[in-house]
Amino acid sequence: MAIVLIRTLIIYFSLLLILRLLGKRQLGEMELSEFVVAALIADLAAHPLQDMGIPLLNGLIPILVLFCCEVLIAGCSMKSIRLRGLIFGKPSLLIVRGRILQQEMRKNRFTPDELMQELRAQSVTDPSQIEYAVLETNGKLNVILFPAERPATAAQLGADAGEGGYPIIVISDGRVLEANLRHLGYDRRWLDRQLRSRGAASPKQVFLMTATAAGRVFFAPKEARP
Amino acid sequence: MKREAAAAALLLLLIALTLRHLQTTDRLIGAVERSLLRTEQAAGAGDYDTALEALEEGLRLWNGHRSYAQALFRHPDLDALQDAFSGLELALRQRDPSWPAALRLLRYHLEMLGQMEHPSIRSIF
Repeated sequence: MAIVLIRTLIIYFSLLLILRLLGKRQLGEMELSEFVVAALIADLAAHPLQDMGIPLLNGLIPILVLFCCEVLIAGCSMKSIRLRGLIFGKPSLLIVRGRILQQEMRKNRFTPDELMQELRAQSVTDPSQIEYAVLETNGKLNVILFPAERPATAAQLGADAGEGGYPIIVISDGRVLEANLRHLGYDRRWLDRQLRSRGAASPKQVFLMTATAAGRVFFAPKEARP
Repeated sequence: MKREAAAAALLLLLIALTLRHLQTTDRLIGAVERSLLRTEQAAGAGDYDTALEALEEGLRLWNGHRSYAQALFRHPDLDALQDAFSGLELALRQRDPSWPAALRLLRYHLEMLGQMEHPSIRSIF
């Protein structure tokens, strides 16, 4: 039990350190400590299941220890900026005012090809359009275009964009979600009217229907099965 | 902060349980060791009946903690220890002069079980 506990602590902090040194690129969407826990827990849980000679506690104790470490590290890093920087690292600027910071690229082991790939994924093909490109601590590259390159907003164009609102599902695969309907302030009569105006006789003919409090409706009828 | 406090409390509880486990393991192994010492002395003096009684006392002690051991020790290690107990018991019943070897094997398994629970460079790495 003591060995399991100490080994888990050693492995947790070793992985945290190694992955921290490896840099942000290894992470994907997760923060560093989340990645370490995710990588360890799946394997730890599988061991006592695969080998009946290993007591279940040998799998459970490390998982509990990892959980405690993760909660404590996350909690402490919220309180301390220094600890946060130490564990999760800091965002890196890869492009500033259209200029690629090659030293930062090398530090983060980001090749020009990978940079271009990331930019293309965000529909940007020309680095000179970019005011800032930030490699976040979770490994994601965020791109901020020069103001002149950003798409014009309705406000900039002086156009009335109307109300937005959050679309909520009211019919999902033929089933009416009454609670969502009530939440939006609508009733069945409103729903029936909407269905009739879209040529549907009943909710059963609807695959997906969403609505906003402002009255914007998205309607997708069910397709006939081949 | 409630979550952090709960996590810290859980970690401290795990550490406390670990220390308690080490104490329990030491006490159990120590008690079995003492019965093995009596077994050795009696068998050495040719008193196999007393030696068997002392061995059975050690076995009773060990079996009294069987569920605990099953939950915390690797099962192959426990099986090896149980086999070593049986080996020594058989040797003593048959008054086999090779009983010291069986006793050494039993002590080895017992010692390994204790050693592998205690944090040391060897057991951790």
